[in-house]
Amino acid sequence: MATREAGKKMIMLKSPDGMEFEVEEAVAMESQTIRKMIEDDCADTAILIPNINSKILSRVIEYCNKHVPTTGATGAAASDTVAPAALAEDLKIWDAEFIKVNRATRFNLIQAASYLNIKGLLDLTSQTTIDTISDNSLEEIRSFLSTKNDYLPEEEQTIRRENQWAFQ
Amino acid sequence: MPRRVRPRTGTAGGEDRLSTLPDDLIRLIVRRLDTRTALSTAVLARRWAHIPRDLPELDFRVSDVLPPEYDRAVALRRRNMPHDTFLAEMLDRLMARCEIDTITAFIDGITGFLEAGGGPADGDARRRAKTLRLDFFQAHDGGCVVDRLIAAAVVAWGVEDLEVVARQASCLLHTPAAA
Repeated sequence: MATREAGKKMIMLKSPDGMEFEVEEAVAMESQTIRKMIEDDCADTAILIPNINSKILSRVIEYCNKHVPTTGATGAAASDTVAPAALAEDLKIWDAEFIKVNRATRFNLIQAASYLNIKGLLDLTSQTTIDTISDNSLEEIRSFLSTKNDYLPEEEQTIRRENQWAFQ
Repeated sequence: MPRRVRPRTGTAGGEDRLSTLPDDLIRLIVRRLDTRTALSTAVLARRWAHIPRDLPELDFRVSDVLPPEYDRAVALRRRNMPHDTFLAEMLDRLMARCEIDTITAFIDGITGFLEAGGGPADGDARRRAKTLRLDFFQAHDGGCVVDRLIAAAVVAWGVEDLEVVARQASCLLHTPAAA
């Protein structure tokens, strides 16, 4: 992560595998968890982000960089010249590219978004899983989740009965 | 006891990726589903059995199971369409059929939901919902299941937010004896 121009307050984020990322405070504060740490003055020098490795953390920072309101658009002051609708459209396209990752990475991103409390990233990362669960048969969902039906037939009947409303 | 293992279809990778993630993450995803889809996930595998019991919000709405044609038929009849009495009667009968099927499905679904003891995968069947939204047809035999559901929700689960919409079924509208 390159150091931004002077004048902006920078925050150091550390991943458990020892990598350090210097980011603008505004970018880091896209995470409500980090925002709270900063507001509570628990973040003077560096913040250790537990359980999120450097590969995932760098992707999260990439997302926050893009989505931070004022300086979100890379390059010159784009917000003055580009209509908000066009910016939103641009963000959507960017998001669609961003989420083209393998499943393990996506699940790691969901976990990171949840821990760091970044609503937009949580929405984006969990949507595919939500769509898959909503639109497919149980067998297809099991296949997607690589999970096995380990119920005994009578157990499955009981659990089906309990959740009968789903199958009406 | 033997465990039934179903043949896996489609996937090449053998890793159980979502299953290795904590229940919290599964809850996070399931919470974002509509109630019916969320309930259906309990059937996926044992470790999913208790997930829907932790849902913070539950919606039981007949509108979720009524076919879209039903709403169109209701709208038509409200405008006194179709003018042809034979067609109108046929539409009424179809609507009544829809309503009766839906009432049966609702009572069946809620009864199963209420009568669940400890699930196979874990003994704790306690629900944790704090919000309950109901939309149901008033039916002479359906009232008690709704009463039981509301009682369970308020007393046993500790629901704080309750939204109830009782609809008049057209099939009961014209037959006072059924009221």
